[in-house]
Amino acid sequence: MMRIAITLLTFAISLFLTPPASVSAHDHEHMSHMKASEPLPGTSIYNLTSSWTNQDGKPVTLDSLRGEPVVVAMAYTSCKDICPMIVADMVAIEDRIKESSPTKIRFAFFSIDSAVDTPERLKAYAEDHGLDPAHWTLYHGDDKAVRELAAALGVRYRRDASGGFDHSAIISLLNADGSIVFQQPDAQVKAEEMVKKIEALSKPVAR
Amino acid sequence: MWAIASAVVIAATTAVVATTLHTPMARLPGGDYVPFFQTSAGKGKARVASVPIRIAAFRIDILPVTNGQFLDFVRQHPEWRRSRIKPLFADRHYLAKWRSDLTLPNARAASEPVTNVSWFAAEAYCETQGLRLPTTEQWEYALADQGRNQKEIAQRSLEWFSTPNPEHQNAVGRGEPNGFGIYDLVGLVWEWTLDNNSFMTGTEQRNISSKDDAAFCGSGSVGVNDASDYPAFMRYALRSSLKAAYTVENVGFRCEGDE
Repeated sequence: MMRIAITLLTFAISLFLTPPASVSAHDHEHMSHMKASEPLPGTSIYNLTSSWTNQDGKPVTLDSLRGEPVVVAMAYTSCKDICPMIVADMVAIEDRIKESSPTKIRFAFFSIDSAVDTPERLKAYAEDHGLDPAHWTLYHGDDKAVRELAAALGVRYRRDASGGFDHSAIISLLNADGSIVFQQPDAQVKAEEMVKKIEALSKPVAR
Repeated sequence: MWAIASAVVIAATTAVVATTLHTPMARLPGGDYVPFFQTSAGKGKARVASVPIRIAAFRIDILPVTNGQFLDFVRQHPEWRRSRIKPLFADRHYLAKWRSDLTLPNARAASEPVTNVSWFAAEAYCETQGLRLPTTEQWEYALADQGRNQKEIAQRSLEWFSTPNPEHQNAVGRGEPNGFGIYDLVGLVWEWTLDNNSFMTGTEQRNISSKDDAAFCGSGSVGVNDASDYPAFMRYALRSSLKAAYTVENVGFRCEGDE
């Protein structure tokens, strides 16, 4: 009931605000041939300069992901609700891609829990879940890094009283230059569509 | 004697320089504050009754940032000019009312609040001042004003909501300050907060009849402290409808810093 009321309110507000144009990655299709030395397109997430630490304890910036499409999610390791489903979905996508084509694709898990998810913990989580380090990277960042990336990906999150988070369960597909190509907003959506988008992205293998 | 006099002169000069560069700030003492939204206890658990949270002392701009101040910022940081802004950081309405990268629509715009700025641009501005955007809790704590004149604030909010967006905003600092000495929290422009992307009140859930909150990990929507507080609903609904690259003609910002 409350949610309906707020949705209506938000709709009412959207009527008197200028309708905001959403940022779209409409130029991504002809970006895929570009090399990593060329300037990033303006829609690229890799324009964020925040620094992160990967599960091996190495400091990295986001543009280290440049060069191959990436499936990205933000979650946290102590989460018992939907996060395991997010990771399971990503693994399902990985399995489907492996069997269908030799597509090169990376998987990135960005933790929203700066306090708890140390690189060591992320590494243990990856091992427990059988995440292949050849394709998967898990990232720890400070509050600012997390906030900026969440803003860029449209992920909403908020700490709850039990020390966990409420957060959007969004899986995003970035092209080789880091622009958002597709977002799967709900962990219950089947992996099919994401797999199709990935395959479409890597069809012209002439890179 | 002479030494004391010159020290006073230096202190006075410093104060003038500081206010020219950026807005004066109000110092807010720490205190208890009951958030509008209850904190969820975690999925499957009963909602927690609203309990006061402790807000640490902080400083906040007494005025929203103006076009004039934002012009100084884009002069010094060309990557934030309208022609250079990356689409990741702002949509195509960024600084839409300005005549060009470095030209305001008219002379009086310099003292009007800057609008059509994204969360990214607002946060970048504050960072160059050694500041940040206020958190939603800090902003609401400033508005709550230790309980002073809350009925009047609510009334002024309602009047403001029912007024169409003006062609031009009024200059900042026209009205009366609140008890903390802060102007224009209500009645001029809506304002970005640092954790604007914290609140999930169902706006992204198209299927609102669903019992399943699968689009969110956690409890989804949560209860509120005072369901009759219509202006608070409006503020939180607006925040949850904005994405970080959006630039809207009646959304501006002010900055916050540690005490």
